[in-house]
Amino acid sequence: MNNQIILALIVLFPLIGALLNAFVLRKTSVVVVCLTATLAVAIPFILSLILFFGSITAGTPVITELFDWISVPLINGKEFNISFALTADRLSGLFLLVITGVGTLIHLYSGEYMHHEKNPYRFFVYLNLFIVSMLLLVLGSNMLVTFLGWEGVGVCSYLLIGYWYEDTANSMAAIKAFIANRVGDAGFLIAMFFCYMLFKTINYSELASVIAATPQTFFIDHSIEITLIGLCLLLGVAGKSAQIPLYTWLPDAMAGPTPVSALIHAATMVTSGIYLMNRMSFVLVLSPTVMTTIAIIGAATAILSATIGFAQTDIKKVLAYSTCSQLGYMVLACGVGAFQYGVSHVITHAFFKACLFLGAGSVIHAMHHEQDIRKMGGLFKKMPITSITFIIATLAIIGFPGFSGFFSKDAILAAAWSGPFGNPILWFVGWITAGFTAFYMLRLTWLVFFGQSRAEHPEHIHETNFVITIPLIILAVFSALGGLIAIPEVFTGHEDFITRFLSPVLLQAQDILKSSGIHTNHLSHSMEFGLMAASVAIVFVGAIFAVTVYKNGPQGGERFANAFGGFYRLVRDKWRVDKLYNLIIYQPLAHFGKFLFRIIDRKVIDGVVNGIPETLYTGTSVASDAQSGMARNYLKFIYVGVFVFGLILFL
Amino acid sequence: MIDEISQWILSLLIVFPVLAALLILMIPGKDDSRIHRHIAMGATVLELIFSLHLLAHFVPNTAQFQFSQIETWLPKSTGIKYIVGVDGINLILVLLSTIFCAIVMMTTYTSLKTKVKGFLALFLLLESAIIGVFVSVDVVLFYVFWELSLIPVYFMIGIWGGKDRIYATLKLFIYGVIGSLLMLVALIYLYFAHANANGGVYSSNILDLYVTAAALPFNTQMWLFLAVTLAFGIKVPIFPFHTWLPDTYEQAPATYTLMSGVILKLATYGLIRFSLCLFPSAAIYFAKPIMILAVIGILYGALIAWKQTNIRRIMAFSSLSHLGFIVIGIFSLNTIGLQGSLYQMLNHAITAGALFILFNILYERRGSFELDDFGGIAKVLPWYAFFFVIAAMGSVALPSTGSFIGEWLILIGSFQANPVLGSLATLGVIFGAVYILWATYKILFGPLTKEENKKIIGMHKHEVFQLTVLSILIFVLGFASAGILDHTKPTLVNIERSIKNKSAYSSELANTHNGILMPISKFSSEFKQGVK
Repeated sequence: MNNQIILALIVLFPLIGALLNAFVLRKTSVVVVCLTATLAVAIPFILSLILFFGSITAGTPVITELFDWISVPLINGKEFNISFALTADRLSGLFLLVITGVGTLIHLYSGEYMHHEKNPYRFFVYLNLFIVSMLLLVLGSNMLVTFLGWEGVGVCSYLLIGYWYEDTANSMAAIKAFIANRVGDAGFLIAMFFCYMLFKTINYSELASVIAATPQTFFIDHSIEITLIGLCLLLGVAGKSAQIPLYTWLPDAMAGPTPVSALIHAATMVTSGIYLMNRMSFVLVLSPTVMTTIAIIGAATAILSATIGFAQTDIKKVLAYSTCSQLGYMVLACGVGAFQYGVSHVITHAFFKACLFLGAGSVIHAMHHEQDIRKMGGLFKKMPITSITFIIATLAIIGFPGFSGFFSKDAILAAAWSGPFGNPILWFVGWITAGFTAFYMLRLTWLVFFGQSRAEHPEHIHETNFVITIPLIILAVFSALGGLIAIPEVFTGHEDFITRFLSPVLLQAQDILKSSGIHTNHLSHSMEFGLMAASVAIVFVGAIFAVTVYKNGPQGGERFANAFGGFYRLVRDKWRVDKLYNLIIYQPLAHFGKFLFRIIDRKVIDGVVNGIPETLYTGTSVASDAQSGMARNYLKFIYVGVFVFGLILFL
Repeated sequence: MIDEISQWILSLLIVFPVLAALLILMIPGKDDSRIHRHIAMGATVLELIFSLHLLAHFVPNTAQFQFSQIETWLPKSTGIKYIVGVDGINLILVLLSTIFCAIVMMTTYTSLKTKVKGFLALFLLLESAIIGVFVSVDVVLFYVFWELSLIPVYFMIGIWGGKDRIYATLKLFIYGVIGSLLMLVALIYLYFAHANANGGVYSSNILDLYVTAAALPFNTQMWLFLAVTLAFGIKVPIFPFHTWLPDTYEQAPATYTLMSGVILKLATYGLIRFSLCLFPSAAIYFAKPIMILAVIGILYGALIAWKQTNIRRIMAFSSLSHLGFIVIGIFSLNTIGLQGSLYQMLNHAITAGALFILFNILYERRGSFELDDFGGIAKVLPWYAFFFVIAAMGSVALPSTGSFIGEWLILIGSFQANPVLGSLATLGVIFGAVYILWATYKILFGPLTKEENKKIIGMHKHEVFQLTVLSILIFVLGFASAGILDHTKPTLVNIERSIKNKSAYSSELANTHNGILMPISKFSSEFKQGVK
């Protein structure tokens, strides 16, 4: 089978799975539905492996042109053609493996998690459609196919967050997620339109060659447009990857079933912004303003959401804010010019965060939908597999030496200091955040798994079955070892794997940086070890502090809360950002919408329309019933005349 | 044989529904007898089949008018003739109309209860007039059909409408009269201007008038452009001439609201065929102000739709918003924008049609168009929810639906014309999602609290059929756009070229092709093979 067909099949299988479950297997048992859906992702996973090791690693991208999607002639005799084409290069290849690999595990897990549902087929149809969209997002050869996936994942996320639609809160969270994403999507669209306007193409490879062939002066003349493209792309990234100012949808999205939180709102969809920034890196680096903005947004999101994580009591909310925070790290990596470390953190994060969410799901499942960590505790003895895997993933996320997060996060921190757009302040923010992360994650782990049980019926809690624990174990193994892709030079003596692997994709961006005189400041080995020691130290401080405060349960936090008073409440209320948005965006727009209708439409415009006959009346006649002007009567006569005429004609 | 059919096919499409209408009026029967509905249904299906002849024998790579027919119906000296023909742009609109009429006709089986014969006859008359408007190449003929298309609507609303139907009809009528008069004055002026410029030879062939109009002094062109554009702009509607629309939608019978998807397109078609092609210089001059009005319409309509509680009023302001996209695409004056607008005319008819069918299903069962009367419908009618979500996706213009291709082309086209207005229009995609998601939530989701909704009866077979066809179309148009847009390419390139050169559309046409009306013999199969 040739590679083009394999690539098409990778996208086709989940689509077929969705259609089968939606129209053919809808009435069958959860086992059949789940197996179909899982196979529809597992087969593409195997195909992706074949493609990845057979061709992509060798350096040849696989390109499949499926059909002509849009073709419009231009007045100069050329054609404006957009083909529905897929390209799997090294960047897409990595995402391909994560999406299908983690996706398979989560589909399997969902079979157990959703087995009480009355109509689970709906859930699996959405999941399969999500996989299709996500694959199109990373495989598209041009911005339009990517955008198809980009909006597709938004829709699936909307449908899945609102899966239990009878609960108003879920539906509201779904709408919020969709609208926030849509704001980002509008940014993406505008970026796409500017790209076409400047470069006459939206195909990635053509865009790259056009930009390579464009003289420097063009970029200087059009620096405003170039900056706008970058900022609009950043808006798109902020929407999908939950960054300031659009991150508020992600925590609410936890209303969806937990496997959804693991797959969509941690491992895949939210990382699509990082994918896009890598894909468009050669456009972003054209504007230092854009790069700096990206880095600042990333760092700010990382630290802001980490602080919110301190005071949340819902196990999924803590993880959600930690996702925002980790995404902030990835965005920071891209912003300082170390795009590849954004990707390596995407990969390690996919493992440990999926593991954490699925572990949280396992706990919630065992505790009959209890999500409040204040009512947990002491689960280690009752759920050993869940606990151990969760702890491994925790060590990974806080960057405990040797675990995957340690390498991928340290690479980002080093780049924040020394990258082309890095500076010590960005590093400092990232460093503090690492300490915060250790604190809120250890607080979470301690309150859930250790100490006394605070559940109402602790005797009912027991380990979940193997369909849930097997994915947990696999993910835990990868959480521990996944860091291999980013082991830095200081340990091995040669450049880290991810930098070498992605260099063909990022080459052009680096060339552009070089030609504009922006260089990576090379860190000395002792400096690098110094930074590493600093982050290990702050992780330990954060972790030990958390355990000390919470060793006797959640009441330990109360002293802490009292000590900080106002600041604590501010953090607990998520910095009141939602309230602020409600006050300055939602309410004014809602009132404006009402005002437009009641005043402008009904009074002003309709007033004029209805007023014309009345003005005619007051101008021409002296005394008559004010309610019926002469012109109006006149028109009524015409109307009645035509009416009668018609009645005679037609009836 | 094929040649004879090709020559008469357009006239057949115009006359056939009228004949069917007469048949229905002649056959006696009560309102509850199904025979009239069967005849009307059969007629629209046959009409659809006839129209497929156009698709099968259309030569795509030319902008010439095809299937053209010229007959004399008034004294020769007047120069007013019966001329019909299709090029790419009206071809797809004719097909849209015939497909749509057949789908909409099914609704009459349940929604139409009283004075059945009259309504069916009016509906068929409307179909005939719509096709007449699309295929007329003579402006007098166009005007006749334009007026004919308005009359059935007045009656449909005036007789079968809701409780405030008289006010709604009156408002619609006043707007209609103003528009028609403006258009009439402009066309009469052109008609005499042509005679003046051509030594007293009269003609109302639009292809002749294109040459006349393009040669007029700019000032005159400007006034004529304004008259014609206002006439069509009211009917589109373009902000701020839209206030008839909410009243009409609220009061109109179900069938009209469904058809409105096509009826509004008569006006957008008119904008392209008349405003743009007759007065290229004026079109350039006024493009920006009209784009601004369109952008206002997009945002204004979407914001108002969000805060409405009545479903039909939401649809009215949603239409204002969506039609704003079509108008901004037209007045971006480039092929990409025009192509998008034309494509969006199909998509808007289909998605709005599907939504109206869905809302009427609720209305027929619950007697209400108020959002607050629903909630949790997805639990009782899962298939209904399925179709609803697809139609909503189409309305939001998500990629994979046809509307996305349309809107995307429109936006990229308007960006070429004016990036600032293009960006503002792009914001419409955000607000467009807000009101649809809100309405979806209010109807489908949330707890199922109302007793009446728990007992709501399922969908009829014809409703499932209608929605299935429209849903499939929504997705087919999302991927098969290249094949459909092929038909319209030459015409639209020609329009852009005539605007760029500020020259008459027909002289551009004559420059690139041998003759403007394609001889019928060219449709013979040998020719078709030789064309490429």
